[in-house]
Amino acid sequence: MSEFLISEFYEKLKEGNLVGVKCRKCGFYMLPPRMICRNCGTNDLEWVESSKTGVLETFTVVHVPPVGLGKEAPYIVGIIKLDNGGKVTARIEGFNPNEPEKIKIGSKVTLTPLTREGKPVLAFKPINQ
Amino acid sequence: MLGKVAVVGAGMTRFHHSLHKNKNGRELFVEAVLEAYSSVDKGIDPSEIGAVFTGYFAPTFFEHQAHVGPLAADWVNLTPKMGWRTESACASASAAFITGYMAVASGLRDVVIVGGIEKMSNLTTEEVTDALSVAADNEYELPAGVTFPGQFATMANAYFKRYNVTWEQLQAIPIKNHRNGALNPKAQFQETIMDRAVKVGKKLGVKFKDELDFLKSEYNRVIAWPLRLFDCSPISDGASAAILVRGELAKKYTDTPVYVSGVGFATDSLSLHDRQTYTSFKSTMEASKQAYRQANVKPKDVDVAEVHDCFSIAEAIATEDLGFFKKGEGVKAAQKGITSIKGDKPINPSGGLKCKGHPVGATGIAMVYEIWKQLRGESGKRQVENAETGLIQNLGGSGASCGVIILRR
Repeated sequence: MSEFLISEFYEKLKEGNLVGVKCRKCGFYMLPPRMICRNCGTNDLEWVESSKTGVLETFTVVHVPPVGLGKEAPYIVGIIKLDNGGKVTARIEGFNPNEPEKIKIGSKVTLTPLTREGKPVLAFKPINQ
Repeated sequence: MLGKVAVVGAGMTRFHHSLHKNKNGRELFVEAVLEAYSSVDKGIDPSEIGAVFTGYFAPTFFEHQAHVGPLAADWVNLTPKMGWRTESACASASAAFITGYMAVASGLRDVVIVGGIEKMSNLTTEEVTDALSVAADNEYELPAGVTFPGQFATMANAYFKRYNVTWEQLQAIPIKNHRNGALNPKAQFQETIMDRAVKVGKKLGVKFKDELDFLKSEYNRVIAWPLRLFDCSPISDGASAAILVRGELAKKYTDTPVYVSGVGFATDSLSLHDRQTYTSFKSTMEASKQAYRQANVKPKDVDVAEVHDCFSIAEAIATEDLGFFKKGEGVKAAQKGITSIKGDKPINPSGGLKCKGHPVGATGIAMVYEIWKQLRGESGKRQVENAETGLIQNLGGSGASCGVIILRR
């Protein structure tokens, strides 16, 4: 296993892999990764694969974006709870940002990473059932 | 053992988006401090002041200026006294206040100035959005395009769903805050939302039948769905200051001191996704627990509060986290008028951040300014009757930090 670094998390995402870290001592799982176990406080962690599917917990549609994202607005940002635990903030694709009423909290989603200026961006899209 | 600390003076500039265009942060700070000096009933000699602590969130972005602690001290002629800048996003000024409180309560200093500054209008709205967004997690949140209105909008959606509340019901909060702010000479917007609706209506040749009719119109554009312009506090310039002294010295300065009876400050994850809930702030609950315990005060004892309504939804959540109302009841309380100036639990008589304005780093001590005036009975048309115990709640970012201060007459 490689050294734990945030940049490593994004390197793996670039390859289409979403990874969290698991505490070797108490088994607590954290996504996104951090350096000290939030449950028992040790730093003996290992990388583990995250599931790529989860549920949309809540969201917004950003109409006034920060500098540099003007061309992307309006866009949807949400919090996803992955099926094996852990939560991330991500871009939500596959819904019409101009019809926010149709975006349902609780929707099942799957990972579909985006790239902005060569850097990977976490994104999810709905699973059409 | 902590000593008693009193607030014997307070000052603030008017908060505004254009009025201070040609001034910079240090000049606004001087204005606030001079008003604080002149508010001391029996006068104060600046040479008695032993330290200056100044909150300022993002001077590097807004004014290409760091090292604001000594700069602020220098511009009020207080070098070489102790002083530095405190930064905790929108809670930067409550951090300055509590730093000053610790200096006095510990016996290290007898008299200190605490203050706050933010000079935001130099930048465009997009640039301000960008500058504020760095209070969120740069590694795990910003790449997705997170903004501050966006953070509170995601909380609003979670809140609406959980408690079966609608955006229309939430509008009771900005409507109430504008009614209060219309009575405040320091407020950025000295008008009710109906006043604004009439003005806009005349211009567009339309008639809005009430406040909600206007708020639902296209004029009130969406910033981050479901939050619209009037759910958001504005971009503002301003500064605030307060003078803290050792309790035993208070009567030397005034016959009506206001005492700091409890303080609290708490932290949480920057990232929303790292929290268990999006409909309440752990930092507010923890900071208020610290302050209530120290002050030996219960939520029901608070006569008036200034809370951090950076966005409409934040006021609803704050009034619940502070223990004034049950979870999910904050919006209903505003709808029923309980939080109006004449209600049982007046919240944001100043007009709140929404109407008074929100120069980020100045806000916490502007809240103290309002409560100090309220407890001394100097709030004119927006005076809460018989206010003896007041509270301020000053949230940082999307709730990763929070300062709570309880003041008593």
